[in-house]
Amino acid sequence: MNILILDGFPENSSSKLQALLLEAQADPGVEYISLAKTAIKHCKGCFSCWLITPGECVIQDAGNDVARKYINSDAVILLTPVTFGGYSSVLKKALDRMIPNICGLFTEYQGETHHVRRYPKYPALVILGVQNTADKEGAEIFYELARRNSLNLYPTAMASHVFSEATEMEQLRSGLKSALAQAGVSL
Amino acid sequence: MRVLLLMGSPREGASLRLGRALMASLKEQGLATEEYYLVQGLTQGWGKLESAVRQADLLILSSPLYVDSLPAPTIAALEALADNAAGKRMAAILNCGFPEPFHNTTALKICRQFARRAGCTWLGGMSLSMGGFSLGKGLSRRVRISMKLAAQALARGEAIPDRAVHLAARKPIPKWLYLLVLNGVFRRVVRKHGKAPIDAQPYFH
Ligand SMILES: Cc1cc2nc3c(=O)[nH]c(=O)nc-3n(C[C@H](O)[C@H](O)[C@H](O)COP(=O)(O)O)c2cc1C
Repeated sequence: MNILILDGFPENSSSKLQALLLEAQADPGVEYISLAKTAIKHCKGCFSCWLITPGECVIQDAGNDVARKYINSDAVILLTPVTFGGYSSVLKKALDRMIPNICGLFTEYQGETHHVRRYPKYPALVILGVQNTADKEGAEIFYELARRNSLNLYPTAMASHVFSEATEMEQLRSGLKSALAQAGVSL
Repeated sequence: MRVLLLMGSPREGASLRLGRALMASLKEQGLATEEYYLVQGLTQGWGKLESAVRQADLLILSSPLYVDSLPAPTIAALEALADNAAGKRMAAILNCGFPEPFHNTTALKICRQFARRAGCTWLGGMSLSMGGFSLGKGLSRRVRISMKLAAQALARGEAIPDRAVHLAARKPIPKWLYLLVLNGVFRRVVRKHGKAPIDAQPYFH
């Protein structure tokens, strides 16, 4: 199983969950990208990736590599501090650059408008958030965002979980395992 | 009262037109206005934004929806402002490309959550769909009226009224027509200017 881990923690912060996922790096099928250390320019909203160079972003930087790796993975794990209920800017700069992987054409999907798939298969998606202080509303928004993303990104399977940084390591480990299992992913 | 428009799009598109429309109505209400392009903070640092925020009483975020939430540079700006915006009032205008305004709902909650975290008074948000298409050539009457109603309330320190929210969210054309027109336009543009077919799969090994 090819697994891509996109770590959206800013440079000056860390989490126990990060440490757990970093352990998985030893597996040859796992690639761990620390986005804070990766220079990815922000999406400029030009829609070239749909209209001019379909499937490819015109900004030639690591954002393209990440999008390419994304579509060639069996599973992608997103890791982020829960930020106002959503993703950190560090994770989001990579996610905004993912739209070349879907087609610009509109279609109906599950009763809503979404985009046509560009590729026959998309990776399973595991979206993991970490809260330093418990915030129920923030967690609810996070789950909602993960669910909305799963409608737009066509993952073969999806799981999301909000962890508390205060959780003991062993409990964190089993929580991670069950979140991954929910999406059919084993590390 | 001083109002600062936080421009959430990296380009000069629908968010700018919407934000400026609301600012024009706020100006009519006697407010002093200023605008800041959030993407500039990525290169300038956030100091300039922070001082603009310090001088403002009311913050208006106008932003497009990117992958069901705010664009990365907008989130970066909010991260920078989380400890620098206490006591301000805040409202947001979000616009998305899909024809259903509800796609913006989660991102609006994120804006509200920012306001709570930063200690701002949340005065509500407006959701528009169909991107720039829904605004019309000038600005459709529907949009102008909704901005005016919102401005009247915001100038009094009150939340954006439901009527303004509903008007803004109204679809100017039916969903099926929007899909038909836009898909046709997309196909034509790609046929004419595209360097590959519209359904190319350049990243697949
Ligand atoms: C990277 C990216 C992601 C987007 N994601 C969404 C989305 O999830 N849902 C949606 O309805 N529109 C989405 N859009 C469309 C924009 O929200 C829409 O085109 C908007 O009107 C752009 O505003 P602007 O002209 O101010 O930049 C996305 C656009 C881009 C460039």
